[in-house]
Amino acid sequence: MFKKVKTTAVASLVATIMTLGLMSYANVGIVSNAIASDGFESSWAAADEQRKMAAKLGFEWRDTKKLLKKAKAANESGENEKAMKLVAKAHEQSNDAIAQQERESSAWQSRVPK
Amino acid sequence: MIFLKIRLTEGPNESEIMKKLIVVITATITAFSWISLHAGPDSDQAAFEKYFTSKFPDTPVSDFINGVYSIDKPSREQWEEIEEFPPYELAIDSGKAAWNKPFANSKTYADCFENEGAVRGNYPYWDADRKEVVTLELAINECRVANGEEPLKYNKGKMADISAYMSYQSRGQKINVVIPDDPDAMAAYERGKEFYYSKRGQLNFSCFDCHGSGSGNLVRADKLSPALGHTSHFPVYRSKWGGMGTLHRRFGGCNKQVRAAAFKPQSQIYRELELFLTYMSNGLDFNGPGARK
Amino acid sequence: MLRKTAVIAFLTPLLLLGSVSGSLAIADEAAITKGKKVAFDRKKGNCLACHMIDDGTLPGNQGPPLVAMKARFPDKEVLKAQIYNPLEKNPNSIMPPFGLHNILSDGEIDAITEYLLTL
Ligand code: HEC
Ligand code: HEC
Repeated sequence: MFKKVKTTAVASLVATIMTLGLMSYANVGIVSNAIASDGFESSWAAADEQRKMAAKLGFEWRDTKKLLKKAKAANESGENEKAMKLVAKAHEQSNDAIAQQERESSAWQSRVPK
Repeated sequence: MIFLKIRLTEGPNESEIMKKLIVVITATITAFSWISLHAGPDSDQAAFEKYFTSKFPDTPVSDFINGVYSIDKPSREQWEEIEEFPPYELAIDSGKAAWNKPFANSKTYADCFENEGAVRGNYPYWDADRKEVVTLELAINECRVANGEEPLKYNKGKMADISAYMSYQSRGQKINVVIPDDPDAMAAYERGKEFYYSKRGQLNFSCFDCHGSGSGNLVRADKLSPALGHTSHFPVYRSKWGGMGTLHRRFGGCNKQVRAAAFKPQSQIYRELELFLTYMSNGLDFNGPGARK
Repeated sequence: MLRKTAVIAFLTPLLLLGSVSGSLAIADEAAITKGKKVAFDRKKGNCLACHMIDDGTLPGNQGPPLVAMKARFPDKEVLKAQIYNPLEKNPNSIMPPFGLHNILSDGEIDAITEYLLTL
């Protein structure tokens, strides 16, 4: 499950980078916009999937949902670069939250008064 | 070990050593399982209480129900003045009015709760049939729904008022949470405990980081209150809120300030957290509603 | 002839060095100002919540006072590492992992480090 999410995230990131690369090469405005927006959708979905994973573990961070909302708004108003940055930030927050859960699953006991 | 070594140099047969080893190992395992059986909620509670009574030796144990004012003389004086005209009085009055006003089906809260609502000391409890923790606020809404009324929002408003009235009626009752010898109840307690000690959020804090090891320290100008007695006085009037709030509203606030997502009030995990945290204060008095900064 | 070349050869690196260190000093100044701002900002470092620092008002006392930093942290990287991820040294630390959890950017952490080394 973990692996799968990560793989799709990486795949979509690679796809986006490639798309962006093509975009700047060909510089075909309207068409490339549609492609970038397509990359956005899959990156956004992967980041949201990771957020849900963190939430399921009980470790979601406060601002992750807000970042994803802002990303959507930015994408809709045509600010693709900003939108992708926000998605990446949200995705990283959830990665960190999941790593935090892993750390804490063995660390919390050391704090219990004996 | 030494004993075995000596025997070895004397050259006994191997099977005899094996037998002795097995006896020793079995005895050790038995001893350990006895210890782990008895290292349950009871000894957790004793260690928890001792942690705070040793950290704040000047505070009588019965006084921890007064939160930060139990360890901070200057702010205690201000607080005692506030308590002379308590800001939660309005909430008690409006809770009393709601208590007495019949539902549409002409029944009242008194048909759900005995003793004129003085039942605070029965909550939270583990319901063995439902296999979940039942809190006072959950029971209030279940009473409403059973009588055809809309459930109330859990954080503030009418819910906090009714809870304030019932807590007021119950002042002086002992905190006496029971964790039955039942694997499901134990698991719920353990989840509440793990939640309390786990670091969460972008800022990476556990509840205990602030209210245990950090209690008594200053965050800017505010002293952090000790966790012992933490659930005794809810709902609470908080000047910062400009009104009343329930215990789970406070849980949500404390989660959010470390940039963790808050859980819904009365969610399973917050009820289990309440079970654990209230159990830690067993033996102290319920003294709600309260007033805090 | 030979002497002239020698003098030039000797002077050039000195001149170069002078101009480089001059611009470095300006960069430091900017970083120090920025570092102090980020450290004191409640929405950023909020270091004052736990540390007494410099002329910061209403400091908390959960962490040690940040004084004599240059003497106590001769290795800049050690100081930076404490800010980036205090869990490395103490898994129970209550100090937030400012870098690990992206609470501050790398640039902001560098700036705070420069600032702290002036204390
Ligand atoms: C970053 C520090 C911090 C963390 C972490 C934190 N709290 Fe708090 N909490 C506070 C502050 C500040 C207050 C208000 C002052 C006080 O009473 O300590 C407070 C108040 C409370 C109160 C009310 C105390 C009273 O006397 O009315 C409760 C209950 C509480 N916190 C529970 C929790 C729980 C449960 C957690 C973990 C989910 C938690 N806190 C995590 C800082 C923190
Ligand atoms: C919630 C409290 C808290 C906050 C906020 C905090 N610290 Fe700390 N800090 C500590 C504690 C506690 C220590 C002691 C070592 C440890 O437990 O990690 C510490 C240690 C340090 C040290 C090592 C000091 C020494 O003498 O060894 C430095 C440097 C430091 N903090 C810098 C910072 C900076 C810079 C910030 C703001 C960006 C900051 N801290 C924010 C709690 C905090």
